[in-house]
Amino acid sequence: MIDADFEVVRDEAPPMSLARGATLVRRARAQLGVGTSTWWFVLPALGLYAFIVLIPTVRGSYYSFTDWDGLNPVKHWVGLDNFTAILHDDAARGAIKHTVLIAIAIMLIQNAIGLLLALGVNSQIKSRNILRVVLFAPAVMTPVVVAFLWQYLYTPDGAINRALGAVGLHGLERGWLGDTSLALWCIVVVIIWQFAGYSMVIFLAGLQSIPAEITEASAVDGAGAFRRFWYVTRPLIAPAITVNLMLSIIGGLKLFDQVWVLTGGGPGYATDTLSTLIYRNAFQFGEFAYSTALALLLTVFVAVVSGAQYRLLRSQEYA
Amino acid sequence: MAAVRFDSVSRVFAKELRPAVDRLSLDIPDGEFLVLVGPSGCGKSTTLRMLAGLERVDGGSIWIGDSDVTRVAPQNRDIAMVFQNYALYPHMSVEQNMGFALKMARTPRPQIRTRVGEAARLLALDEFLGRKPGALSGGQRQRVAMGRAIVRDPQVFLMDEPLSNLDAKLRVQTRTEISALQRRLGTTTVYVTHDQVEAMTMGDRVAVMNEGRLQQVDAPKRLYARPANVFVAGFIGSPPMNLRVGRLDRDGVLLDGYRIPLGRDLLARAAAAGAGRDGELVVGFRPDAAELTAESEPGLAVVVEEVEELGFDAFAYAAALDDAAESLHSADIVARLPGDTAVSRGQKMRLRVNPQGIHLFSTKTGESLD
Repeated sequence: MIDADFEVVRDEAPPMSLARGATLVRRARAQLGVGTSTWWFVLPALGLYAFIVLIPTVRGSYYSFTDWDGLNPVKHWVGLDNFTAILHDDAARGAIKHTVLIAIAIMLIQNAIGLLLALGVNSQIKSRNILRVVLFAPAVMTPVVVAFLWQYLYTPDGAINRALGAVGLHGLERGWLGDTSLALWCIVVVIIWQFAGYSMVIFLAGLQSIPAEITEASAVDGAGAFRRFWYVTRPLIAPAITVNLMLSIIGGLKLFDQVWVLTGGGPGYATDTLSTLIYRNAFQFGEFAYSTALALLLTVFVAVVSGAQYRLLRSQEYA
Repeated sequence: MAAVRFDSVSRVFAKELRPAVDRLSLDIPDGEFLVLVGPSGCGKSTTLRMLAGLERVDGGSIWIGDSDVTRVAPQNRDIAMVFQNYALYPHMSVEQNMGFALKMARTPRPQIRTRVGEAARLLALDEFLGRKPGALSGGQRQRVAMGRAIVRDPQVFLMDEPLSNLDAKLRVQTRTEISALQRRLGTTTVYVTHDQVEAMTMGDRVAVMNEGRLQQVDAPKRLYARPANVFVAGFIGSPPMNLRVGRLDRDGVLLDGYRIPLGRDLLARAAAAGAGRDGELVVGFRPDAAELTAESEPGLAVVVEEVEELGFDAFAYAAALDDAAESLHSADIVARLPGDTAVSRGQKMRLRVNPQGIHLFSTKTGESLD
């Protein structure tokens, strides 16, 4: 009898306590709301992000529905008036057009050049290490500094015109930034000069993740250099392509510093972008509410374009 | 299908003193399965890569069939290669991987489908055609790599240690599969491995390389029975041949005070071929040429250092008792004894060496004097 009792206790005690422990843990988890969700871990960062970015953005957006001038404490709700004004504002429509043009040009040309540079310095040429450094160097400079440097190059008696003159091409000498049909492209050149090396580094990282054996296998399989790139390299660097296209289109849509330094949006409004227009309207013309509306438009525009682009590009990457 | 010829081919890497491949001349007849074997760094992979066109040739010429391909780009050589890590295209399905070379050759799509289907059936890959390589096991990936090669019906197959990433059991199975496949297709094959078991079991002929130089090309059996030099003797066979410095005597060879009687012919040839000063030469015998003998009988006196019991037989690793003569490869003498022999560590014993199993090599050149 005693023996039997003893047996029962000894057999059941460990499983019972284990089960009890598990129940306690489960209950604690349910109370805290953790365990199944990882959101809990994101909370501190998310809180900070909300405090610094989300809340100011939402609160700032409010002004785009008012007639606030930035100084007068009195403001009135005007609904969508600011947005309809944008539609009828030639300056705003011009700025949107320039912004889109610059963004597309930068995205295409900067990445094409960056990719070619990456393919070049990914080869076995002796000077590849020094070339990587030299080509990436402009990207570490401050954009405003780069813009000032190029402004000197572009002046009518600057280095570019003098170089053209020195080789007898006087016919090509221009007032580069003063020419309404050229100024926009002059800005694009500066951006590409500065950031092609940056794209190169991202492409290079992608290229170096491809095992040499795979490229060799495609060569043995009968693919020449171009088809090797198209069928094997390109799909394998798709993530780098995504990153580069995203960064360059977002950078292009937000462009401000270089335009402001090089042309200030001029000549006339020939190189105005949404960012320069927003800045001028807000801080020079005191139209804060209207600028906020433009800024909101730019934000939504960037979000929609980059979101759509991201989905499209990710679908091109292999799982 | 075609024969392959290496004509005094060399490759020298920058900043290396000795050539990775040194004046290699080798004829591989049409349809042969040739295995290139050697320790790591011996130049076997470089040789294969030069044949593939993936490595520059610094001297000599390489021929596939009647054409000199020395300067021809890999894509124009009509060869197929199986890489050590398979090098499957991770973004393509198994079907696309196998059909890639045909697509590059601008084969019509229906024909690609048919040929990939046939190869897939041959390799039991039918049900995986839609999968990406990432969703396959190691053995399946290996078969896809094989499939990618055979689907093309190329002039030559090149295989660079294709089994080294498989586990032991799968390796044995795949080994026989590859041999059978090659016999069936009859395509000239050059196969690189560092594994002498693969070399001995798969090759019609085996080419042994060391330090960039071709040591011997022969059928596996002859390679084992008549090694051309000390290196091949020590490399082929597991455990390797025992190699010790001995001395030529009137009617035999003296090994640590033990006289092994040898035939007149062999002695005459060894003497003529120039056994070194004082008649010194390298004496080699395989572990199974040694047998235990009584203390009173003539024999090699040794102390057992380690015994490996393998059931049917046992390997006794021993050190010569009279260690005046210096051993070449290790201090050990290995003897293969019947499994029921009672030997233990530290035990002294006497080994009789079968004179039929004696190989003689020059101490100067290492070449065989047999």
